[in-house]
Amino acid sequence: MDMRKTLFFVMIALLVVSTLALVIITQQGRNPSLREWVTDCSLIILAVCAVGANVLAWNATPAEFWQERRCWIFSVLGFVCFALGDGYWAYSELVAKVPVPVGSFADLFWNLAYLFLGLGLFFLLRTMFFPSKKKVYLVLFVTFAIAFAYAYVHVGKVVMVQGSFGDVVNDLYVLYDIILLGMVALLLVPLLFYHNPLITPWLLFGFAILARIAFDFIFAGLVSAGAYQSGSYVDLLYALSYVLFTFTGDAKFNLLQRYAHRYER
Amino acid sequence: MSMIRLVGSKKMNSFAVFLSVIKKLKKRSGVCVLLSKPYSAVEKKLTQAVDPKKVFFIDTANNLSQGDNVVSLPIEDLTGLSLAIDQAFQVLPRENPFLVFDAFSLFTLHNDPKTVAKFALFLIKTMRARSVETIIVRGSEGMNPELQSVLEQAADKVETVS
Repeated sequence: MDMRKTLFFVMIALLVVSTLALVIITQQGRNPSLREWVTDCSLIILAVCAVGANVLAWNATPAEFWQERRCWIFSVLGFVCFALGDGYWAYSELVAKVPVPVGSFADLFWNLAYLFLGLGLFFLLRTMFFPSKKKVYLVLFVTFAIAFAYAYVHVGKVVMVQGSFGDVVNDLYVLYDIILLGMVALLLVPLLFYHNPLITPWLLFGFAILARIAFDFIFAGLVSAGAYQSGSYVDLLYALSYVLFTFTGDAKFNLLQRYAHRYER
Repeated sequence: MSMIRLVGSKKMNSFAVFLSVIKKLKKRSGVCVLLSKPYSAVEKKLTQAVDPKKVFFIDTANNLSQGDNVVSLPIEDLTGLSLAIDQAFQVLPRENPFLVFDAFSLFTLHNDPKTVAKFALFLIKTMRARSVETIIVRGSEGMNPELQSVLEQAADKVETVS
């Protein structure tokens, strides 16, 4: 059997994340410039790995499974936007040497990325059977209710009282995350306790989104406390999310390639 | 051909009906969902009935089955099952594929019959869209009347094997 193409992206992702972890852990409080360079560059490379692995998975998925293919293509668009956002952040921080203003192009790309990721998850959920549509609607209703309550209390307060556009933009990510969390719960809860190769890609996909959500919550807290800088421990969660997305593409590609050989497809 | 067939027998048990059905599909590829007997217990009979290089088995009777052409899922996880069936068809050749359930009524032992009926309609709709011939073998112990009615209405052909 030929070596699978996605393994290339997996190996690069593992190499990069290991280097990043080594630098972040050993250089805390020592060399902020090195941490910034390694972190910013690593995150771009990891985003590109996620794009590559997911493009291959999309390409390998048969055309008649169009809803799943839409999931892959929207995920790819999401990672492209994440890569562009991370790239803009890195350029501003490392080359232009200016603080990245909140509400910059980076935030535009990151906002688009969440929209695409949400659409990808939506199309995946449409391929699955849910015993009770009422429960699905209830989960989505509660999710959106919490999101709007958060928007009303938090974002509204920021706009009315402090008027900081930056805080609104940062809080938007938490808002997206609440919505994604509800959707990812629908995906993960039925699959969580049973493992088989057919559902592995989707477990990884769900966990990758969970890692991104965890990062955003911690990041928002650190930013509002003025305690965030590139190369913090929390960036490892961000990197982990990309690695898991790369694993997702690889698991799907591996599944299709492995069985294509077996069944001589 | 995306025909939906509901098959039963008054004399034979459901697994014997299932075997007679899949023997006729020997040269084709497809997915078999085992509900009444674990794969490990009937592996020999199954490999004699079909070409194991063309068929994927999803074992809901034993949660430990795992192999080159078999995965396991609990019978009550209809969401996981819908996803697994969809994924299994992606790895198979797409010439005239089939989907067979060995004793569909067993779903109602672990799930609400209305939910099972909805699951059947969801699968039938999906399989028609994918041009997959679907054969539902009823359980030999009889079937919930509501589920039976739904399946008979949705099926293109209702057969009794003697």
